[in-house]
This record gives sequence, C-alpha cells and structure tokens, in this order.
Amino acid sequence: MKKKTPAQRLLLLGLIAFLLAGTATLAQAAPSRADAANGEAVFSARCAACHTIGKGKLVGPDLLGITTRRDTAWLTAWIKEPEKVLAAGDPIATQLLAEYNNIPMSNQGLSDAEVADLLAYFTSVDSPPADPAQTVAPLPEPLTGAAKILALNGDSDYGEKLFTGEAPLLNGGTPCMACHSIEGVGLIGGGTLGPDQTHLYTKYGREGLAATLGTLPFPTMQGIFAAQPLTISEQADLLAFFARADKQGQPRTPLNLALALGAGSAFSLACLLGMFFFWPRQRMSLAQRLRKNGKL
Amino acid sequence: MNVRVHMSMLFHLDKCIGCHTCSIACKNLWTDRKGAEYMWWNNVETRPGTGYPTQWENQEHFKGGWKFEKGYGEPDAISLRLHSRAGALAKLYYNPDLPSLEDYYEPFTFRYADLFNAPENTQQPTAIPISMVTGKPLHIESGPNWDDDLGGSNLYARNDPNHAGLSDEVKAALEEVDRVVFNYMPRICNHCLNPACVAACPSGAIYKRAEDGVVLVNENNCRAWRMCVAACPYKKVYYNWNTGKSEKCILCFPRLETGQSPACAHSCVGRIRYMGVLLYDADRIPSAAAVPDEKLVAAFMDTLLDPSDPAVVAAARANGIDAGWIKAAQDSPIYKFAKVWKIALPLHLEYRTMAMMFYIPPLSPVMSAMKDGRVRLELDDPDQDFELFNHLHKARLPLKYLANLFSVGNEDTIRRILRKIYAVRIYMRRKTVDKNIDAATLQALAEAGTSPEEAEAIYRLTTLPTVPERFVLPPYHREMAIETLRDPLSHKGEAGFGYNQPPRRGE
Repeated sequence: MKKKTPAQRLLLLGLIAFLLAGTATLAQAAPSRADAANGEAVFSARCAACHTIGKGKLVGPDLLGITTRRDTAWLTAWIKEPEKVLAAGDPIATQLLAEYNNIPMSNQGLSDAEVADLLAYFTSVDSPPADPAQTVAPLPEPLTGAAKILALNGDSDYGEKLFTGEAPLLNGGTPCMACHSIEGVGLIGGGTLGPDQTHLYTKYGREGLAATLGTLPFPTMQGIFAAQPLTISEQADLLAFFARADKQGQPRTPLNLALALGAGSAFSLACLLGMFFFWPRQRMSLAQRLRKNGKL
Repeated sequence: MNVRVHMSMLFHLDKCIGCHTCSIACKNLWTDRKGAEYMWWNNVETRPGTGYPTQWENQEHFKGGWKFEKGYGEPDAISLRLHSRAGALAKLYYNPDLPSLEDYYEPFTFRYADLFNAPENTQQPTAIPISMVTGKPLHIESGPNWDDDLGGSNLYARNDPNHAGLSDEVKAALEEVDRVVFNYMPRICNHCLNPACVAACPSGAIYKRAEDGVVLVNENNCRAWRMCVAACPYKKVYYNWNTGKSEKCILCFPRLETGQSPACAHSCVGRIRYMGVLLYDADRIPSAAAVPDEKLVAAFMDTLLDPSDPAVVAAARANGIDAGWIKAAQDSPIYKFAKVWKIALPLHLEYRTMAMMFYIPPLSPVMSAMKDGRVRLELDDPDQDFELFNHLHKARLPLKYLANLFSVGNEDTIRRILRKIYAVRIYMRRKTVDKNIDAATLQALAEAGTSPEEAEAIYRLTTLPTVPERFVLPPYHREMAIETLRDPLSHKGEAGFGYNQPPRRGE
C-alpha cells in the first residue's frame, strides 16, 4: 500500500473537521426556528375561545404583553401542561385561578413545536419588528363566532331540547345530558362524567360561555365535538338555555366531607350497637327451646 | 296412562326391634366422612317422640312439603309451603326455616387417648366427649335417637307433634307406668312421587331418575342454597358443611344396580324390610296430590297400578319398561301389602309429597290393666285374644296417634288395618296352637274383611319369607342404558386389545 504524504493527510483531516462542524451547526439551528404565522393559526384554533390579544378578558386573561409580564420558561411550562403547574402550587397560577372564577386552563395537548410557535407569535405581537413595512396590516375586524352568537337571540326551549337530546344536534354530536346535568332537568338528572352545569352561565360569563361553546376546548369534549361541532344556531339556543337555567337558586355549596363522614360513622355505630342489643335474642332452635323450657 | 316404575321399601313396624343395625350399616357405607358426621340417611326413631331432627313433623316451624289450596270453583291446587318464587329470591341468602345443628345434634366422639395418657391418679381415667365438628370438649345434650330407652320421654315424647287431636285423658294415660308404650320407626328418604326438595331447588340440582324413581342430588350442580333441606318435610336432605353440597339417601342404587338390596334392608336383623317394584301412573300425580285431606289416602292408592292388568302391562311396555321389571312388579311384596291386602300406608301423606316408602302400623303390647280385680293376663285365652280385636280404642298406642302418622288422621283406616292383622293372628293361633278353627275366629276374619287364604298368605309373607321373597329386585340391565349412549358393537371385528390410540380430549 502506497503511503500518503503529510500534505494529503492534512487535507483529509481538514475536510473531516469541516464536515463535522457544518453538521453540528445545522443540528443546532433546526429547533430554534419558530414560526410566528403557525403560532397565530394555533392561537385562533385552540386559545381564542378563552383568550384575546388586546380585546379584553374572556374566560381567561387578555394576552397582550404576556411575554413582557411572564418569563418564557414559565409560559412554556404553563401552556404545555397547565394542570401540572397548578398542582405544583405555582403562586402565579394559583392567583390566576382565583382571579378567573376557579376555571383552570385546560391542557390543549400542544406539541413542543406548537408551543414554541405560539411563543414566537406572542413575541412578534408584543415587540413589532423595527421595519414598519414588514408589519402585517390590521385586517378589518370580522364578526367572530362568539359575537355572532351573542347577536342571535337563541330559543331557550329548543336549547333545552338540544341539551336533553330530545332534538338531535345537527352535526351528530352527543347530547350534553349524556355527561352533564342541570338541576331540574330530566327525572334522574344527567350524566356525571362532566361537571354540573346549572350555574355555568355565572361561572363563565355571557361572552366567555359564547366563546367556549364555539370550540369546546376541553380534551374530553374535543374527542367528541372536534369532528362534529355545534352549529351557530345551536350554540345560541344552548346559550339562552344556560342563561335561563342559571336563574334557579344559588350555586350549591359543596357537601361538607367531614360532616358526611362523621354522620355515616355515627349511623354505622348505632346500627352495630342495635345488633349487639338483639344478638342474644336470636330465635332459638326448637331443640334448644325444648331443653330450656320443657315445652315449645 | 303414563306408566312408570318405582323401587319402594316397606317397613313392617310390628317386627322392628329398634336395634339400629340399619343406621350403622348406612353410616359405615355412606356417611362416615368429614362434614357428614351428623347425618343419618337412615335413622330409627322411638315413638312417641320428637324424632330426628327434633320435631321434624312440626311444619308450622320447618315449612316442609306442600300446602293445599282449595280452588273455590277453580281446580284445587298445591303450592310449596316454604316459599313462593319471589319469596325464594328474598330468602336466598338467609333462610330462617332451616333446622340448626342443635335440632339435629352436635356429633360427638370420645377422646380415647385420655385413657392412656392420663397421669397416675387415685381414680380411673375417663375418655371425655368431644365434638366431631370443633374437636372441643362437649356437654352431650342430644343424639340421633335421644328418645331411645325413654331417655328423655317426659321432654321429648310429650312434645310429639302426632299427639294432635288426642284428648288430655289419653295423653295422661300414655305416661302411666302400666300403660307406657313405645315403638320404633325407621326412616329413610321417601323418594317421593311429588318431591318438595326437587321443586324448591333453585339450581335444579335434584332430580328423580326415570329408571327406578330414586331421588338424587347432582353434586356437580348443587350450589348450597339449602332450600331442599328446608322444603323436605321429612328432613331427609342434609347439608354437608365440608363439601358445601347437599346429600341424601340414594336408596343404595349402586347396590340395586348390581342385584343387591340396600344396605339398611340387607342388614336388618328383624327382617322388617321388604323391597319391591311398584307401577304407577304419572298422569295421576297432580290430581292425587291436590285433593282435600280426607281423600288423600284413596287418591294416592289409585295412582298405584295393578301390574297384572293387561292394559297396564301393555302401557308399561309402550313406555319402554323392561319385561323383567314388570315381572318384578307382579311379584312385589310391597304391592301385595299395600294394594292387595291394604295393610300398608306411606308416612304423612298430608305433606302431599306422595311418599313411596310404606309402613305397616304396629300392634300395641299386651295390656296389663286390671279388670274386675284381676290382671288382664289372668283372663281366659279367648277373651285375651279377642280383647284388642273388639276394643281397639283401648290399645295402648292410641288409634288417633297412628292415624296422625299414617292415614292423615283417619282412625277408621288404621282400625281396619289393625283389625285385619289381629284377625290373622287369632286365626293362625287357632290353626297352629289349638288345631281348631272355631266359628268365632272365622267370623272375626270376615269382620276384618279377609279370608282364611288371605290370612295364610299374609302370615307367610310376614313371618316366613325367604330373602328372594322379601327383596324382589328387578334386573337393572345397565347394559341397555349404556347402549343408548355407546354402540357395544363398535369394537366388533377388532383384534383383542384394539388399537393403541392416544385418548381423545374430553374423554
């Protein structure tokens, strides 16, 4: 085998080093390319039901200036898995929960890339690029779904029929009552998979509820309604029905667990004591009676 | 006419000496197992007494058997006394009508090792009684026949449910020293025609098998509901606490199928037991069970068919009954005692289960009461002989008592039977001892509705029967039963031991 000259060897080594470095640069650059346009699409699909940017509070807060108020790490964690942040007792999250009627933000199941896109979108809104030519010209405000629903005057009676399933949902969704109940509707109430909706209207507010009905942004409901959403008129009817249902009485206070447990234990104990009293008075067998009393 | 066959047993109570050999034979053969210690598929009761389990005849308490429901225009009907269908469901997990272990007795044995292991002492060691259930020392309060030898008579005999309808005077007389009386009554499962245990079983585990009418518990299907234990008015289904299944007398069918009489009958020292085949009409069972009390005995006897009647024989053959069985039915001692001579009755027909084991009521012992200042035994022989024949109401065992046991309270039925047996006695005494049959004796026979020939026949089968006369066992022909399931010619033409084939799955 012919030996390589020192110059050839140096050239080969340089080539390898160049290739390696290039690959490493490419690998590092790939994930950092967030797409603000995609982020906007994700926002309108998943977040707009509860949040606005610069148009005031709905179910959740207005997100204008969010990147200046919160740091990126917190936002990433919160958007990705809000229930974990809450469970960890994060002070900001806890305060927000209290502020917004105890309605927790639901996990939207976003990928890491989608979260990064969202953050890029928020950043682009909060700090517009220096070049004014590149800013997106604000479009004329279209009438959003929520506003349309609010403009329509829904029929609360038909809303009740939709809720109970007496009238079918046009796109084939499951009637609300399968999983939710409302006080006074149905003989034995509705399902218990979802929360009681008697005072949903107070909890979410008129605008918030209207926005929520459009997208139903809850993981469990998404499984049913993503492919077969409520129509605009159905949303209006249901909104009217929820408004009517809300008027009956005050929200029920949750059962005092300690009191219920205590009362149950006391009742069981009383029964046991009663058994103890009757135990020696069990019916004797005929033979025992005969031997004890000499007759039956 | 739906003719079927039944293996029945007959107990000649006048011959029973109360030795309990039958009980022991049965115990050793079938119930000498863990969980079955307290069971006596065959037991012998001293009567009057409360029996085993205590007061088993008290159906107000134990709710056994069937209840008669008068139709008032509709046909009369019967229903289980234990429960309705809904009631059965409600009581599925707690049945208050079951006898308890105290009602049977806690089975006991003795710790014999104490005799050898006791430390040296001034007194002899004793083997203390221990429970066969718990193994702990036990104060014995009861046994399988606690009434025996008048052991508890003031307690047990006085509370016999069959005292119903007896006047206080008669009841008091039963306890007088010179009038005291008892007889023995062996009991096995009655293998009823209308069994309440079968009707009450929620699992359908009990059945009456077609070939000989034996009522059996399918141990594979039994689910331990114990409704059979409560529903059987004779309390002859027992619950095995070890296996969690019910068990009962099987009439020793493995012995019957091999041509042997049941162990209890085979071992009977007094030779009181007879075995034979009866033909009955299954179509008449519903109407015979649902009749008022006073017609029960007649209706029951009507379901038993004459095996010599050509029409019956033809119907039996049409029903697939083997000629050997029909021949056995024609020779059956049970048929002779119950239908031809009409001196045998089943026990407690008022339970309406239509028991198929028969009893010949016992005679009372000789009376020793005083008459005109003389002891009865000092009277002349003829007077003595005719005394009870003519004055059955004076018998120590009250007619009403026997009627409560065997004839649904009808004293006339019992009187007719006892008079016939007494007439046979008087006739045979005249014939064998005096060698002179006088007119009074012949008249007694006529009054009792019998004839010298019949009296002779009753005498022969009662006192001198051979084993084949007592046990007329039919050929079971198990090979015929097998043929319905397997082809006996399937191996024809094969050489010797067949082929070496691995067993098929499921066999």
